Amino acid sequence: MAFKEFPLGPTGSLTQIATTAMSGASTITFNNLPTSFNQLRVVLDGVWVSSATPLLLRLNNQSGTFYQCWAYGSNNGINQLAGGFALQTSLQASANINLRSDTNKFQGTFIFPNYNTSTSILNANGNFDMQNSAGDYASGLVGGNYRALGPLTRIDFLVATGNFTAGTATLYGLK
Amino acid sequence: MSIIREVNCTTGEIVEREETDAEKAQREIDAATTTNE
Repeated sequence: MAFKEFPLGPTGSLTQIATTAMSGASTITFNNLPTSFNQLRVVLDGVWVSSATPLLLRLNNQSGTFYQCWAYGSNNGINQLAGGFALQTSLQASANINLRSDTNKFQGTFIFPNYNTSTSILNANGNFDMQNSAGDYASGLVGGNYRALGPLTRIDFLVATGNFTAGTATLYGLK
Repeated sequence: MSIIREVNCTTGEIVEREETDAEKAQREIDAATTTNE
């Protein structure tokens, strides 16, 4: 029996919308998001943080204790992270492990699917890699949602303490 | 005081401003509610 051949979807394209350096800030905000894409993606590259804090993500500047978060991954190749967390006031864009108070380096890509609709709740998912100054590392998948409907109009990446000391954040749109 | 860097994705303008006391307090709440694995 032959498999059915599915027709190809419309031609897609990834467009860079905006990019910014992160050094010196505690929060990077993308606001006035364009509405002409099907999906948004943010790529964080070479992000250094000078405090023991995970990367956090806020959607539409919502800060109620209604973020559901989950994370799966590995820690130094030994321990496995798996699970959903208690409700938080922000989404975690990285896991809260192996963090040191001097320096921690992150990279990751975060996806905001179907962001421009008023019929879906605010949500995001992505992946992260981190390494601290002692050579410990972790990587994994993270995601979650906030108990409010879209459309998504603002994205904030932040650290709970300290500042970003290096790195870039770039926003892309996918049609 | 911490800096918030805002990127206007329609105009491309990037603006820096100081974090307000309320925003600072919110980050402290975020730190307190962040899950420790």
